Amino acid sequence: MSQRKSYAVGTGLFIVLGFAALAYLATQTSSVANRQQGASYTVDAQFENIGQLKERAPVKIAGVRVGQVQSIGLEPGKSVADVKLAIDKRYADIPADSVATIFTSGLLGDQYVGIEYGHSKDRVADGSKLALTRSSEPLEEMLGKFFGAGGAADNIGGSYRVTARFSNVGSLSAGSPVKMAGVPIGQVVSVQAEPAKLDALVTLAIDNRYNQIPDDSAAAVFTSGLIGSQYVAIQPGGSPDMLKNGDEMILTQSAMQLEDLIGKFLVNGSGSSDGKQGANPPTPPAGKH
Amino acid sequence: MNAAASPDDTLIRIRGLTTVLNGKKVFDALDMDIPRGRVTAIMGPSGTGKTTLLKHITGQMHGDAGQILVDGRNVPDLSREALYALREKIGYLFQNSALLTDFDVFENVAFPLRQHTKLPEVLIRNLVLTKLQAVGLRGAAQLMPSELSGGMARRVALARAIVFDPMLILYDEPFVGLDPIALNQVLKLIRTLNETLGITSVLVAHELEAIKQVADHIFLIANGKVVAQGDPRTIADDGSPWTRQFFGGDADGPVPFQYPAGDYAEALGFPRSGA
Amino acid sequence: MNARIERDNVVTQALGQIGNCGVFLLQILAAIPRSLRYGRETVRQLWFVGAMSLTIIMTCGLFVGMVLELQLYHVLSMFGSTSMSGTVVAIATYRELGPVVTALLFAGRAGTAITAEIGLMRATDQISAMELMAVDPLAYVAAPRFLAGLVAMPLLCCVFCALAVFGGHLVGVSWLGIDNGTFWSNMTATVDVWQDIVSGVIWKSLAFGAVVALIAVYQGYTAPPTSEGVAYATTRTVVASSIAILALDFVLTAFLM
Repeated sequence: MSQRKSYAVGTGLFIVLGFAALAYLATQTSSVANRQQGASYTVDAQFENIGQLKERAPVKIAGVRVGQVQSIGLEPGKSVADVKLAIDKRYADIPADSVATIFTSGLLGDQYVGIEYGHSKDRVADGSKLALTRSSEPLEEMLGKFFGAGGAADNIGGSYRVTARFSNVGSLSAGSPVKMAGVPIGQVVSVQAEPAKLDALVTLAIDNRYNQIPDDSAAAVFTSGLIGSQYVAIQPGGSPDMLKNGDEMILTQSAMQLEDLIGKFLVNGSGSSDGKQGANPPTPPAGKH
Repeated sequence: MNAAASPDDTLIRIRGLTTVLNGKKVFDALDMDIPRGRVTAIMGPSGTGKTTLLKHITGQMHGDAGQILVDGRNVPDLSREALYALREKIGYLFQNSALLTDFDVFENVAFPLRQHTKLPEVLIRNLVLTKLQAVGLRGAAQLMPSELSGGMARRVALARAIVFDPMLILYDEPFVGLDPIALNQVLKLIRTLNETLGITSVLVAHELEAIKQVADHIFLIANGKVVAQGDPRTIADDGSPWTRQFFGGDADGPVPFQYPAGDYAEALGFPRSGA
Repeated sequence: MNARIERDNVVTQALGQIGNCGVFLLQILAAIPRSLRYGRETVRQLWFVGAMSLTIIMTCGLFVGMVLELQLYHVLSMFGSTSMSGTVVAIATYRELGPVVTALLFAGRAGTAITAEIGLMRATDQISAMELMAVDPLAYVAAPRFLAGLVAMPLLCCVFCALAVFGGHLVGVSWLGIDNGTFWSNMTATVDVWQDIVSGVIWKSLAFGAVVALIAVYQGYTAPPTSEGVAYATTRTVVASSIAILALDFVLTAFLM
């Protein structure tokens, strides 16, 4: 009999161990928290193009998951997708004029719906509709943005020169484009090491047409797409004085290492709340850093 | 012979049993009456289906025709439940003992009790120790089957076979591979169990000397039929060629030395005589 | 000509085996209600089949997780996404490697033991002895082992997967220096309870457990009662189980995923 009892105890231990492992898998390594469908309310949003959005895709505010896509259908009679979002009751304070946007986690990741708060005093209610939406941008368009707009400025009407110092220029070289708001406005004339200050002195030639750039604007070294070439992006400041020939731009942001960039995309998805960043991931705004 | 004549004294009545296995007729309209409360031996040359006959009695095998009445019920007609109920009243001693290798001696003997009853542990213990005492192995209760000699294993199997106090015990070759001491122990047990408990015993065996000491009645079967039966002291003298060959131990006779084969000369490639 | 006939025979033999196996499954299923009163025997088999397989399952799970992580780290480091490696380890293990490798190990460790044990029980007349003691060997021998396999496989598979994730963590975080937080957060964000754990780990391993246990019990039960026959049956258990596991895996993946 004692023999049998020891089997029973050992077998019991085995079963407990098995279920403990299952509990561990389910709670520690999976999205069981994301699964929990608590009380939620439904909000409609209409998109012209939902891209790869799927049912049960997350709905996020400021990168925090607040719900999921409940259903996707076609609005009768119109070429418009009707997406129902199930949002957790805890997050009831969403302004009625908030914007729903379809974002992609990284370049090739899954899509999700991001909501950016508006300013209205009214709150969205169960069954109401988010009027302001931004559709998914097809990958081709995104790639086109990254690579297609990379041409040099036409340099009609001469240029003026400014300098900027970077602690790291990455693979920036003479001839790389200078862009503002994504539009080429000039090019890099030279990249030189400054032995005294241990940084890189970059000379930019900017088309004379673009002479209304505030002198507190920031210059950043960005990369076109994930693996594209690097360029200098100018982010306008607010100063009344404009840049002139021979000025130095004080605010600069150095090149990010490609590895960091990829790491950011894949780790965070486009978890950030910034819509533009989601649509145009490789250009994090300099102001944030 | 007298015992078999009266129906009340017949425990197993076999009528017209015919069985064909792999194209070979094992039993050919076999008739047999096994008397109640006696020790009956079934003998015969190897391969005549003695063990197969036991399997028919327990319902493990079914013949192609004929009746096997055990205690008045026809075994081939029984449902699963009825057959299992009948088997609870039959003890069976296997040639190789067939002890369950997972359990020790005690649990092996207790196995039928645990499976079919809900007796309290104390009672099970007493019953098992009583039976083990009867076969002289109470001291070996904690041994595993692998630690037993052949003779001991057979005695344990016997204890297991009688733990339910069956009405019938079937012994399949109980004397094979036993030394003279163990053989005598088993003989004594068969006799004692029969006398003290009144259990009907059926033995399948070859050992004539051993059978003579224990059996009340002997059937000699060959070619699927009973060729001789009777008292152990007189059966050898009935004058039939079967008994003369079997009990005399002749190499050739009605049971041929040669397995049936084609013409010998032809098989060796010699021309047939006259060709 | 001869070869063709032989192949036909092999095909018909295999089909016959599958058919007999199916009939045997029905017999076992029918015997399960009767085997409930041998609950202790089921528990005992669960010990032999399940608990005794833990060592090999845990060791192999750990190493599978470790080697997967190591391989993935080197590939994913090309894309700077090494922190996803743990996620890939988890998903690959939950969906495929866990159930399949556990089932293959289970067939090798427990399946062969079941076949050999039942085969020997038959060879030494223990099965017949049970029948003659009015104990149904289907209910006492076959069904408990089948049930034990059915229960043990998902549990073993969970243990295997947990150890694989642990092994991946060991290599990825402790050795290669992936950030602990991103390792876990990526995993929890990507692994889905229903898709990966329930339909991967649980359903698949249940199906594999049933198949391996059925094949093992069937081969033991029908093994010729000789030492040669038992040896052949044991080999056939491993071969048939492995084929059945991988074929069934394909079917299940097509249906479940």
